Amino acid sequence: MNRTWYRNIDWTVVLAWAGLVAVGLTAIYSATHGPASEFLLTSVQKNFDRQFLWFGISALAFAAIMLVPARVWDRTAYPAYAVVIALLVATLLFGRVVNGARAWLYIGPFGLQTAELAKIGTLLAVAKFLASRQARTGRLRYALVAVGIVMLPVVIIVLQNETGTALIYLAMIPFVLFWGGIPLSLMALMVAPAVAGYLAVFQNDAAFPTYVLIFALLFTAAILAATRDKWLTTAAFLFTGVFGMAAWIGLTKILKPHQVSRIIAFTNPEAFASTAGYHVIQSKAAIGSGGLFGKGYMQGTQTQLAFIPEQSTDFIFTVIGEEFGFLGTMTVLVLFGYLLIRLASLGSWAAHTFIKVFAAGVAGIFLTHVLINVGMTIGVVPVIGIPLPLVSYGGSALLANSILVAIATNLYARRDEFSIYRV
Amino acid sequence: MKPDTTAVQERSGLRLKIFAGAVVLLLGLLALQLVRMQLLDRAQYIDEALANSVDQKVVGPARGLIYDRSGLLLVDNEPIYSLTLAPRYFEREKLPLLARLAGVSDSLAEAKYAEISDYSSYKTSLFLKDIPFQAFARVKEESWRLPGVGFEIAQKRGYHTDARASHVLGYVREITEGQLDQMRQQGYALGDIVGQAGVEKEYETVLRGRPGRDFVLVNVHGMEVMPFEEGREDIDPQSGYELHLTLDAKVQALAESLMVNMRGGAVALDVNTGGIIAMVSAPDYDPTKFAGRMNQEFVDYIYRNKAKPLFNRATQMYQPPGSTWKPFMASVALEEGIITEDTKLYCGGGYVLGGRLFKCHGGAHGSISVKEAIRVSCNTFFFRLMNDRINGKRMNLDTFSNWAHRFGFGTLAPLDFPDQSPGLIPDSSYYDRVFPQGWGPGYTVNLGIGQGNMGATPLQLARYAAAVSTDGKLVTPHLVDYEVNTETGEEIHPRHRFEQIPISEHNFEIVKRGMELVVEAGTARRAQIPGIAVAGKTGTAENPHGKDHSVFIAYAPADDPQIAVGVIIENAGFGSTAAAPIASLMIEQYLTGEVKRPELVAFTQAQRSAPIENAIESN
Repeated sequence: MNRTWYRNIDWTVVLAWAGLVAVGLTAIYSATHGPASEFLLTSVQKNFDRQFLWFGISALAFAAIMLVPARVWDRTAYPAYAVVIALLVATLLFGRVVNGARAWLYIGPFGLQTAELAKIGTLLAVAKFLASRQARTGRLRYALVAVGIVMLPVVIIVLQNETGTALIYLAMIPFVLFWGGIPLSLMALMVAPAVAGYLAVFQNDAAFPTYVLIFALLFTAAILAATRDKWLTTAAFLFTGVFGMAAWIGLTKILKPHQVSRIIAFTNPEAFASTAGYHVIQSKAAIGSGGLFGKGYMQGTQTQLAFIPEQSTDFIFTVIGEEFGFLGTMTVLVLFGYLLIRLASLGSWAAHTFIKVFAAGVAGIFLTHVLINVGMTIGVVPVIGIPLPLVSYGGSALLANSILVAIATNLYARRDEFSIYRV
Repeated sequence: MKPDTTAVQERSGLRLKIFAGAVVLLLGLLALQLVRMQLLDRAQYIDEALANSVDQKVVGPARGLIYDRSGLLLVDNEPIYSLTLAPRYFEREKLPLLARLAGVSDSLAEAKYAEISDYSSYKTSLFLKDIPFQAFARVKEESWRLPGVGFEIAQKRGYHTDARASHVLGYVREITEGQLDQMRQQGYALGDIVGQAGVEKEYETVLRGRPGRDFVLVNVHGMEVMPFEEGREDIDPQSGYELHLTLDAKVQALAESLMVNMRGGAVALDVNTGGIIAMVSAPDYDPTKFAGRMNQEFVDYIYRNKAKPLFNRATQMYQPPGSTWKPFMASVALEEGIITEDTKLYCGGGYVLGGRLFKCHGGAHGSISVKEAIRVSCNTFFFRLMNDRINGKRMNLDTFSNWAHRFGFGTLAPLDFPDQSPGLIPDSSYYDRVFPQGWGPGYTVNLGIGQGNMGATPLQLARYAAAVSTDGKLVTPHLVDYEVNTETGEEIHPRHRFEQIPISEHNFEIVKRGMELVVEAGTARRAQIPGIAVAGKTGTAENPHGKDHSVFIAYAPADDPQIAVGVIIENAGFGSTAAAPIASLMIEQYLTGEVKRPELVAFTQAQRSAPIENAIESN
């Protein structure tokens, strides 16, 4: 089939992208131009204008990417990876420190958060590697190479002191491997430590060992039943029981109290009202008090009276929750849900591993962002400073995330251009 | 080797389902939590958000206005314009602009700015207090380029007539810490204005009104941002009640102008109601100077001047009443049956007791009746009433004391007024206490002419004069005629009781005739008012420490009494020269609405109390 590529553009993805950006701009406008504005720093007051400019740049980038032949991504994946690694290293060496992280590279007046842009190169490289002939043999060591491709930027980003963003890269791993064709049991094995860790943090009390033990035993039994493989079963127990216990011991015995309190504050924000839990209390009060319809645009007391820190960036979801209520929050979740599933579907339908892994990677990155960002504002996940993709203020992130969506859309629209289609 | 296409696609389909399922499950968990928070537990979060952001602000009510008896406005509220500043939101380089607009020097603005910033950079603090309205308006016009500058309009008391009436009205001032401890229960807070003396103090609860509450949204720094619910929940303050005084501002102002160079007190009463027409204490003070920071000169004047301007001489200063006491003695002696209208007692120019001569003034009066004795103010006659056994009866010290109390002496009047003195009326136990080595008639005979160990306040003298004029109706002196609830217009008229002094009308008639003669043809001819019959009695209180005190009581018109006056002027000599003209002019002003005797005004204003040496204490 040789259909024209632009007939194959999935406009629903474009619409979901545009919808989320519009919601973001609306919320940022409220946070910076409402009654609260006079109490904000002048630099923050300009957030909307700047974000609007970045939206323009992103939209142009989106359109431009549509014109790029699909094989270009495949061919430039490794060079792109090299470029982003170089950028990250350059940032580490010459970057500017903002909020304790050396994450900004300035090119003239333009500040770039290179870790955001590096997602693109990293994802392209992983996708290309997993689509390669060797990787598709399904051997474990190729999976490890894929993990290595992701871990290199992670290490640099951790050195930049941007742990939140590094976490997103790590979260990329299970998604790309999952779509790269790794066995499902192995997949479950990789997700298990996260669950055990979450339980360790959430049940940070005397009852903890019981919960982790129950989870570990159930999980190990499930793996045994599914694979009948003693090595996998042993690994399952180690990943869950031992990891969980280690996390618990770390929390209760090794880490300093203030470090622990920051991690676990989200489970009981009231007990940490003036310290670590303050953000969570204020953001929960904002979202909860929004009710079904919200308090009205620019009418949110929590938002407009500046009770929530970082309102236009990490806590943008509280503005939506307070001023547009349950309808607003559901709109955002539904848009994200649609976008993620649609992206994964496009990749799946395209059936080429490069497209599949890339699209799934984008969906995975966004899903992790949404889970952590929305989760922290409603107090079910610790406060980790990462933005809500496409919605939060932040030019580099908006551009990078838009490019990710654009490339996925482009790859699907031009899937016929892959000569080894159906390989 | 060819890959199994169907297997790949099946696997993809399965994985897509797993992925989609995971997305739906995880976002669904977020959605569930949002359902719980936004739909089920919404009320709790609303409470939290409101507790955060809604602050109560007390809105001071307008203090009650004060009017005189004719409805003339005496005291109202005037705005004080002040600027506030929140340093965090103020652009410091605009300080010179702000100083220029507010009309203050750059250095003052800098100093205030530094003070405020040191205190708190987020909180709004008072920047410039009580600036002229023009300056306030100038700054307000430019407020758009002066972020962080706030505007505050508070109230201060404004005074509107020539009558200062400082001791009547008192003054208001910021609540002291001691007062706050006692009054916190009634909802007072730091910075509140409280009546500190006079009517302002006594009627504090009535004048104050009920504070209102404004609910405002405050931001995370506690800064006020906007009204909560557009002000729908606000509770309006309720203004204080209006007070309509019995005071006649014109009489008051006249008396004040007459007493400028004197120390003393003058009280004029409505003889029928007890309403205080005028109450003057000299020296007085300017109540407006108590507002805000007092200047040093005023502080010295108020607290260090030996003349004690805060001391209310009309109600707190007592002196021997001198000969003004004689109508009392006459009334009591008549009622006790010691004398009758026609009883004549002999005056040979003095009274000898225990080998000592108590002199009469004006030579020997010969054999005179009580009326004549009052007219000429014969001391001998009244020494005899005090000490001699006449018609088989003799005045006993305790009888004297009892009657004096019935006339309102030696006791506090049931007055709606904070500060007064009971004066001094001795009885035998008093003498036993003061003279433990023993005492005899020589100690008490002077009481017959209002000298010695006794004292009365101008208020008591006025009340006594009023009682004589009404044949024994002892009124309750009061300043407030009625209160008006400004919200409803309802008037509250307090009821004032009076006591009847058990002396017959006939006996009072005799005494009253004597007092009329005093003015017609006696010692107080200066008190005559053309066309109005005045009855009075002069007194000169002997003062062992300096010049005698000038005392006078009077009422008028003699045939239909309306007003009674009691005056004591310290160290001003004879009753007829200082006290009598003051009373006479007050009566004229009250009864005719004007004063037609400029020469008497000039004469009176020329009188003065002998000055106190070193009037300002060095410490």
